[in-house]
Amino acid sequence: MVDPFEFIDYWQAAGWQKFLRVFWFFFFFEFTRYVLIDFIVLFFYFIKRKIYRGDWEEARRRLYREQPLVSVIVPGKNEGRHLFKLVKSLAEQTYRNFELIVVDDGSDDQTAWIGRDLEQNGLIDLFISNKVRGGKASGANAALSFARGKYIVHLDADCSFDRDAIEEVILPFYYDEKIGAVGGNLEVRNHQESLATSLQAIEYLKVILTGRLVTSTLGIYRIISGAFGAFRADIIHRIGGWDIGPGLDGDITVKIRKLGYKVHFQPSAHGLTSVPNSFAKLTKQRLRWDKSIIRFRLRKHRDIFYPNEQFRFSNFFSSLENLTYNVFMNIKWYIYFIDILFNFGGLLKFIIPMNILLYSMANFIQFAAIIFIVQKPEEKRRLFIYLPLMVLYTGFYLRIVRSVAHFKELFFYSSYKDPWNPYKSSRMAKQLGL
Amino acid sequence: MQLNTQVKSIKTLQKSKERILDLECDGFLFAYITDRFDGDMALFEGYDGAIIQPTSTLLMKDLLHRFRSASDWTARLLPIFIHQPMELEFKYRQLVDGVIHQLDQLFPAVEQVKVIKAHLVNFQLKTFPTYEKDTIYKLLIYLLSRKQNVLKAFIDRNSSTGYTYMILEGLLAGKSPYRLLEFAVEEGLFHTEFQDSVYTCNSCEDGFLMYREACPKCHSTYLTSQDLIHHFSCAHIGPEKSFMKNDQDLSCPKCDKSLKHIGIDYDKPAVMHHCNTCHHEFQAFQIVATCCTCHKTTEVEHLFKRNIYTYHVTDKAMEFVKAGADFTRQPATESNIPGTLSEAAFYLNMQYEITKAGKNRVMAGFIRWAPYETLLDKMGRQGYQLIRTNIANQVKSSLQSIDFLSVLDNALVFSCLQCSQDLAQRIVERTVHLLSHLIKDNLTNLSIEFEGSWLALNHREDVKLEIIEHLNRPAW
Ligand SMILES: [Zn+2]
Ligand SMILES: [Zn+2]
Ligand SMILES: [Zn+2]
Repeated sequence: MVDPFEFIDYWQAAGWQKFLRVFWFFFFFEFTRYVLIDFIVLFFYFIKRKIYRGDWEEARRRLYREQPLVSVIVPGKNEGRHLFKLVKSLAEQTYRNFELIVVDDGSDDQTAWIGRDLEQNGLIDLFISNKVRGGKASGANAALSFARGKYIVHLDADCSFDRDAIEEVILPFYYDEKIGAVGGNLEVRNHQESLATSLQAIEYLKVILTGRLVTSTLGIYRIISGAFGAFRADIIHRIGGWDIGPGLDGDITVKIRKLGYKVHFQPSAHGLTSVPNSFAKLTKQRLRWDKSIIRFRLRKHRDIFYPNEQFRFSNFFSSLENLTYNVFMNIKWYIYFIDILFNFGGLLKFIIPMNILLYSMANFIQFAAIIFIVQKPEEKRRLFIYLPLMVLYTGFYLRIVRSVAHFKELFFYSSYKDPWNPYKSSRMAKQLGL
Repeated sequence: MQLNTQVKSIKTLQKSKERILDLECDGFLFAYITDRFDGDMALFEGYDGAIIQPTSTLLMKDLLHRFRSASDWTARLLPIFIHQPMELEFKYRQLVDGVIHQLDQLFPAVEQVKVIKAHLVNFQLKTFPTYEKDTIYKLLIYLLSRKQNVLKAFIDRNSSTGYTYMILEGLLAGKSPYRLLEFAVEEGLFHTEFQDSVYTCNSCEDGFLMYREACPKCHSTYLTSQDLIHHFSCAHIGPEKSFMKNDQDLSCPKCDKSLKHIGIDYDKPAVMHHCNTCHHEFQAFQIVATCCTCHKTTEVEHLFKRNIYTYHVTDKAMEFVKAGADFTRQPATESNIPGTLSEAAFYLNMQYEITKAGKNRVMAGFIRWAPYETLLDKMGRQGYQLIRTNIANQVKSSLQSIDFLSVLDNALVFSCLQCSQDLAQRIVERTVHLLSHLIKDNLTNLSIEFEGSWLALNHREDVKLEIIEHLNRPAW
């Protein structure tokens, strides 16, 4: 360990120019993106919310005057054990005019039986049981085939929702008719379960709440979580529903953006989700997510970067921001790492603690802002003690997982081998370059 | 074998074109008739037995039933033999006392007659004013005089439940035997052995049902089914019809590609059914049963399930008919539940208790449940009666022995004698809690809600009016 006095003396003597030179990565990329820009945008977001409050109230009146039918669709495999809880949380919704369609995508447990029972008891409107698995997208599309609603709300079975979640998630459609899809706000339910879930809880709050609020405000919000998202039925029928995943959530969002519609994040549409409770499970999930960035942004939807008649700056920046902060930043970080090792190799004992300090400070500032805007802040305060670990979590763990994913996908197209999709679908997708 | 049958005379009866041939053997007189006999049963007074020559099973069965349900003891208990070369079908054997292959060999029949007569001497040939009691008593006398101890059910397409108890069929003249037998079991005269269980209409208890696959929403049977197709490359799933380009070719409505090879391009993961009446889409049929008698259509989950038992005569039954004893309880009528009072009797008892209590007040408890119409419609009269009985039994078990109760259509009222208001309240709350759990849990696919209330009654009030007024109050 470095002597704290020696550490302070060293950086005092070094001067700000050297400081910036050594921590260029932090100051020019991470701090700018995740603290500076966030705060500026959040400031505008709150001002905007105040100014347009009347419009939102008017939107709610319009929604209740029309009372459109909403189709809530829940595709999934082996989700039977979650269904009863889900159905109960939906039965409590303030918005009543919805139909619930649950798709069992070739489950090999009791799901078919449980779902059928709930359907017979009138708790599910339509239960579709597919005997052979077709993958997540096909499950959602099966539900879509029979959905009669004006809006489609896509949910994951292992989530639960606030009483006004459905009302809040379709409200934006009545606020702005250019909005084609709305993302809901999911927080981690099992944040007390393990270290992995605590860290994910912080990550969700950071990335999903503030990150999405910011990108939505900037008009570059790019991924509506399949676990809780709402879509205009006419648009989703026009684009033919979901395409083969993984990453189908981001994919459908891009397709909606390409049609010229806005994609909105609605923080007041609130639900809870269970996250992987161990690092092993988490790694598997993140490998899948990170591979999809290469597969969909860089490959399938690369035309977003082409200057053709469909070109839109917001879409361009949406994808660019995604790629920049996921792929290129990742690469840049390695450059930074080599730079430090090569040029300041002897100073590592001063540089590493300073990095941790800087990131922790940034995390702390950011998290304090989050606590200020979230629901039930008292429950989240316990997460403060995990903040120092976030440096390791985002700085090392997630980065390494991401690198592995990008590498595997770029060179080996490994997402096509993921058993998350049935082989029959992946094979066709790879053949067709989807 | 010695010839010991004497033909005495051939009688021709005035009212009947059929004849009775008198046969005498060993001092016993038998009436020889064919199964076309339609004369008065009183004509057999003075005979020791009857011998029937069958021409058809149906006529024979009808005639046997006429004997066994005759109003006078002689004809009902008359030893009857069938004259035919073959053995008798098993299910008819309980109605007769033997088969005679040759008329010159009546000796075994004579022996049988002697045995029956010897038994009958010990029995008190009593009649009861109540139909149920009278029928059971007659049944026991008949069975015991024949040393028959078993009442077995036989499959019979002419019986409304599909099963018949041959001997009872005659006695009951078309009425259902089950309530009667349950009463006899409660009295300890029979014990049961499980034989089968059958489903019957929950409204009229008829067993002739037509089963069909129907729409779960509207019960229509006008349905069409089609496969769902999953196109692998674009993940689209839709009904087969939406993929039909022309009669032969399949092409994807989402991506326009043509589907050539099942398992490679596409598969069919499920079948969907479409109701042409209400346009509901679904995968699981609702199986419904329509009653051929009352035409009510019922979801099979709500059909009435009846256990069919073999009944064994108990030792107590033998003592019972020897002593000519009386029954200890009253048979349940269709709407009456054993151990409960009729509404009128309840008011009467309550009035009496209130008078007895003088200035003190008497507490009454109330339970009601909903939705009455839905439950009655879905479960039928029989099923609903079962629910009422269950509720009554549950409530009874949480009351003191001095308390009494009456079950109304969708409510129940009971006395809480020697109870303070607080205690009455606690009893009601506990009972509602118990009912909510026990009854609710036993109802599949149906919901029932209970609520409870209590009322203090005193001598200044008209009890009946007070209670009815309270029952009709929308909110408790
Ligand atoms: Zn297709
Ligand atoms: Zn229908
Ligand atoms: Zn019927």
